[in-house]
Amino acid sequence: MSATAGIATMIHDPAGRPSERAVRFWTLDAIIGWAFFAILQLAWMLIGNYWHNPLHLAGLGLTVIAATIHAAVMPRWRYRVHRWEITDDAIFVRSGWLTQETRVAPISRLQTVDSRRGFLSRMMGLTTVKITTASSAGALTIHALDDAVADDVVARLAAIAQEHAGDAT
Amino acid sequence: MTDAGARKAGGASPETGEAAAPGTQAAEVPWIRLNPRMLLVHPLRELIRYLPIIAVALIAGSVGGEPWWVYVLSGLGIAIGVLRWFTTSYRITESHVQIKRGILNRQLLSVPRDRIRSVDVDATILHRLFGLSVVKVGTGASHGTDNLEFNAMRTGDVAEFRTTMLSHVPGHAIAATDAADAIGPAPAAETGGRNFSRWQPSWMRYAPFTLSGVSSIVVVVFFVLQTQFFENGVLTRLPIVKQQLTRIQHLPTLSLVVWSACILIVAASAVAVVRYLLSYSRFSISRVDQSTLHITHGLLHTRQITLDERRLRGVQLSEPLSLRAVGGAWTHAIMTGLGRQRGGVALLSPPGPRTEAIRIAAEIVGAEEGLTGQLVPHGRRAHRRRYTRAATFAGALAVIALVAQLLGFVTPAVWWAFVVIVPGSVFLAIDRYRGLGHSLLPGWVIGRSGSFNRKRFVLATEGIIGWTIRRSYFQRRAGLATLIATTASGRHRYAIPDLPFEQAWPFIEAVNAQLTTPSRRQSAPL
Repeated sequence: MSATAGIATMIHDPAGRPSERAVRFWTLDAIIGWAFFAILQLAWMLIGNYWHNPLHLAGLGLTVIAATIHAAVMPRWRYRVHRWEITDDAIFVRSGWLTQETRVAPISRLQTVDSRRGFLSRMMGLTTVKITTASSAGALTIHALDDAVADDVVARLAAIAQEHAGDAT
Repeated sequence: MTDAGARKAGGASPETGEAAAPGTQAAEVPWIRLNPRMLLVHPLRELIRYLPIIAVALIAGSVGGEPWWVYVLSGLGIAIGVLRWFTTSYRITESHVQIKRGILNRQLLSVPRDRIRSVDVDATILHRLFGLSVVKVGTGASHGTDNLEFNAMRTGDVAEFRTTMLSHVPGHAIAATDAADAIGPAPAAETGGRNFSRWQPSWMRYAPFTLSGVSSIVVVVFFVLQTQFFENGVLTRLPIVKQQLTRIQHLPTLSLVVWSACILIVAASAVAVVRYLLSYSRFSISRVDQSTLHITHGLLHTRQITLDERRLRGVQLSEPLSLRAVGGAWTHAIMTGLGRQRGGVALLSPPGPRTEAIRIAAEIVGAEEGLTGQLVPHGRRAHRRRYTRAATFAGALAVIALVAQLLGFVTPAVWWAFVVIVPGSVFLAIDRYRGLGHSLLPGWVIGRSGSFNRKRFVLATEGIIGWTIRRSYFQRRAGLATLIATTASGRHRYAIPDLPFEQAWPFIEAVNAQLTTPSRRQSAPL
């Protein structure tokens, strides 16, 4: 019954946090996303020569305001929310900001462990670990870990998975 | 699958690409094509799919304007249908079942034979006309999309194929061989035990209340309007339409509204009844053997599903508002390996009397108390949230109406609509709260929600492989949470919305307490 006790006590605060560079990573990520959107808007204005059209200018202004708020608020909020922990029985991951999700999966049900490094995260030495179960709705993603921590997590989970053979449905 | 650079920890889904390692003797097994009759079936299917477009094209052609794109599209469809047969081949080796397919993106799917858990047989009317059946081979843990689909083979060969595929499954071996012996070369579809569906033609009285008629009419109207748009007003150039339009323009608004409502109701009901008869008439359900359920319905559409505790994870009862008003319901089985295209569920009973729907589901799944028992309501905060959301909806409509009026798009008469909208949303809030509930029985998790499309799921606790607690900003303020059970079966996620947050973790804990420790759990029948 250790699984039961584990899940019940664990809940409130899983111990693991993302890397300290995560805030910077999320900020940059947000800025790049918004910049792409703004460039599209500018391209539209350029092609149609709408430089003095008030609607277009207002649209561009809105983009800048939304981008500033998003890039300022989201990363810090995320950093406060994001948590993860791997116990002997289960994996817990909390993520999100406006909408927050806590996911739990018993360790016996995990199927694959992926570690992903995008271009931006590689530059900052960050790794995202994705743990899938047999349910397509049940994947657990631990965002923005230090590379070393992520390697450790993957190794640990792989070792655990070895012990639990079977099709994990 | 995006497993580039992925570290497989204990993969259970079929391997794709060249990862499959057939032995040396396996390489000698030749690749086989599917039944050549599919050379006719595939193109015919494509043509039937384009039938409405072709019909419109012919009508359009009568008033001028050559819709050449229709012919190009049909030709392309036929070509693809033919190519599909030439590009698909399969082989069964000692250890693996492999299938090669794809026209532009070639794909090799390889499944170890000892992973095979189910063989489902499906046949549309077109397939049956040619004596063919679609066979789907599933692994217990598959995500559905990776399933091996044999589209199609001779119906007479299915029984033998099924035996071969399931011969590795302990417990199945005997049942499958028995069935094959009893059936011999005859198609398995023709045998079977007692039909316990008790379906009667009078069940079609429920058809108009499923709203399937309304949805098909909406689709047709959109389609017609779209051709009108793309073909420079083909419709308004037709003489009949022209005449009717001038007549309609002279009618007063009120009688126009009443008339169109009446016509819509009659037409939608007629369409719904026809659709119901086409897809559900002569619904029959019987056990072929201990673990195989045989479901036949509609115009010759047959389906045979393997049913055992490894796959069956529960049942879902659908009671849309209109159907509920007349005491109707329908049920689906929640199973693994059915493929997510159909929502991973198998029809257990078509729209019909609620009591019969529950009886059939209970006979197969055996969770009668889960289907009929009382549920725990979600309390005051969830109740209030129903009204807040209804008010937000009505408020948003009011803002839209106001803006539209200020911009001069609509007359002030639009506010009359709120005579319906406001009481409507209040009723919806009441009904949505009434529907909200959950419960935990030994072995089953039950949840119910919705009003327009109310659904109640009864999910086996053993099938649950994880939990998600989801809280939006507003849910956090209200102290509520959506609890989602994730599973490898059915829709893969079953949600209990707006549960008081403090109950979420104790509920997970209670479910967990029913199961044994993880190390023992996974060896138990899933």
